[in-house]
This record gives sequence, structure tokens and C-alpha cells, in this order.
Amino acid sequence: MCNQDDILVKVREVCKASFAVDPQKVNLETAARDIPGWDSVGQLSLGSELEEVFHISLEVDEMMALKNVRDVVRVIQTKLAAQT
Amino acid sequence: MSAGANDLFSLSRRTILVTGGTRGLGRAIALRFARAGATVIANYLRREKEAEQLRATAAEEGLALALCRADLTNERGMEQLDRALQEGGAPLAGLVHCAATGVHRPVEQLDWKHFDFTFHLNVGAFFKVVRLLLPRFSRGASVLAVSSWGALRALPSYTVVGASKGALEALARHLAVELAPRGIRVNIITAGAVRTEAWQAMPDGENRLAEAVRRTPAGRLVTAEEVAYGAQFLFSEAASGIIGQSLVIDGGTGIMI
Repeated sequence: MCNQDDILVKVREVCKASFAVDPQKVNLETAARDIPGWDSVGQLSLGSELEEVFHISLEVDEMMALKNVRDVVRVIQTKLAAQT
Repeated sequence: MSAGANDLFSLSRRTILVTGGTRGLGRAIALRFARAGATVIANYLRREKEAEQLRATAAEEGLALALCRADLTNERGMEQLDRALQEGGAPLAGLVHCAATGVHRPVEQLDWKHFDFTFHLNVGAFFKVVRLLLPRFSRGASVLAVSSWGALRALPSYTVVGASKGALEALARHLAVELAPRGIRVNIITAGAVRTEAWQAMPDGENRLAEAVRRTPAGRLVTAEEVAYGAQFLFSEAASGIIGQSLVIDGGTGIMI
């Protein structure tokens, strides 16, 4: 499942679980500053949820580098592609 | 009632929470404590696979070890941990704080986000968990903060993690004084370089491990199990007079110039 749209659907749910935001308001342009709770500490919650939902492993550096939803989708695509 | 010589180091009939308890030093401590008779709650957040492997190992050996997945940096996670402990029921005989993270970079590549993130888990979570557990601790309970040489010495690219470990140790010593009258002992383990997956995230990790071996009098790294033996000792009745101390388990590295 490396399709951007499929990944985005799940990422929206991850954002809902991590930050209690309306998933319909999350799109590729959504940035960390747009989501209350997506701060340096929220980054850990987000990263751990992504790992669980997508069955991937992220390094701390990779988690810290996530600045917006597009970054999130891109890193997931990369990780999933590496698994195939 | 004093223990006999044979059970001086036993942890039977004790329920102990180990944060970061499914990987690295935390995993070794969780298993050691369970093998010494304790009921262990191993908290974790990331890497489900390793958590399930620990669960399988414990089941194979018939150990009393339960997993709890809770993010200790936020309120929701603390509530999850609280619920898990309530379900456990028994008073807690102790806490080992192994959960740690950090970004290993030179200072010009670090920003506030890295600092905040590292301190929240390495220090802030310890404070929050101790506060949560205070009403649950039984008399005679132990608390152990797992630290590293970076608290006292400068290591390359370890600036923020080392600073967080220094803060962790200072917090542990203050708690040791405050909690001793309640019969709760707080101590610190300063672990030397142990080959765990944490090194994979460090720049030049393999070279640094090789350097650590070169600097160790025994000519080898200490193992996670050896650190866990020290943790068991500090939790045991044999260590009942040890309060607010740092036990260094580093194979002698720290005594070298």
C-alpha cells in the first residue's frame, strides 16, 4: 500500500488518534503548526502511532524531521517501498 | 523481617514497573526481575514487535510479566498507565525508569524541539510517573533511574541526551532525600556502553563502541544482563541501606584516564 491517497486516509486517522483533530481537516498541506498538540512532544505520539498503524520503524531523527502531513506521507511511502 | 542468605536478592511477591521495558537495558531488567520472582509491568511505546517478543519469552519461561503500551509524555498515556496499574491491583514495590530517547547531533544541528522532546521523556516522564505512583508505592519500595556517563562526562554528539541524564540524576537524588522517610529508596545506575539497538541511531556508533571496548579494562563491553544484575541488587533487601547513590556498571571504563 504505497499509494499516496491510501496512505493519507490512514494518516488522517492517526492524526485524529494522536491529536484529537477532525480527520477531514487534515490534508497534504496541513503543517504541524496547524494542529494543536503537534509540537516537539506530540511528534513522539505521532511517530509511535504511525509505526503501529503502518508496521514501520522510524528513527528518532526521522520523527523529528516531520514538519507537515506531506512529510509524513513521504516517509511512509519510503518505508513501505523498502519493505517490498 | 530479614531475608535469609538464599533469598536476600529475591524479588518475589513484588510488583515492579519498568518503563522502556521491552528493549535494550529495560528489557534485560524486566526479564531479570521477573526471573527473580517479581511481577513485572513492562511499559513501552514503540516497536510492537519487540514487545511481543518479550511477551513470548516471558510466556515460555512462565514469568509474571505484563505489557502496557502508554506514551509517558502526555496525559492520555499517563491515564492509560494509571488504568493498567489499577487493573494490576497490588501495591507497587518499585519503578525502573529506562525509557529514554534523544537526537545525537552536534549542538549547531540541534534546536529547541530536540531539547524539549528529549527532556520530556528522559526527565519529565520520570517525574510524572513517580508522582503518579507515590500513592501506590508500598513501604520498602525502590525507584531506579537508569543513567549513563553522559550525565557527568562529555561525549561526542551526546549534548542533549547527556544533559537530560544529568537532570535525571539530580532529580533522583532529591527524590531520594524526600522519599527516604516513607521507606522508599531511590537510586541510580550509571551504565557504561552496552551493545543495544540505541547505538544504531548514533553517528559513528560502531566506531564509538570499538573505542569503548578499547577503553574498558576488561577488554569488552558490559552486557545488558550485567546491568540488570546491578538493578536487581539495588532492588533487593541486600541494598536496604543504599539511598541516593549511583551504581556504576561500566566494566571499569570510568576509572581510566
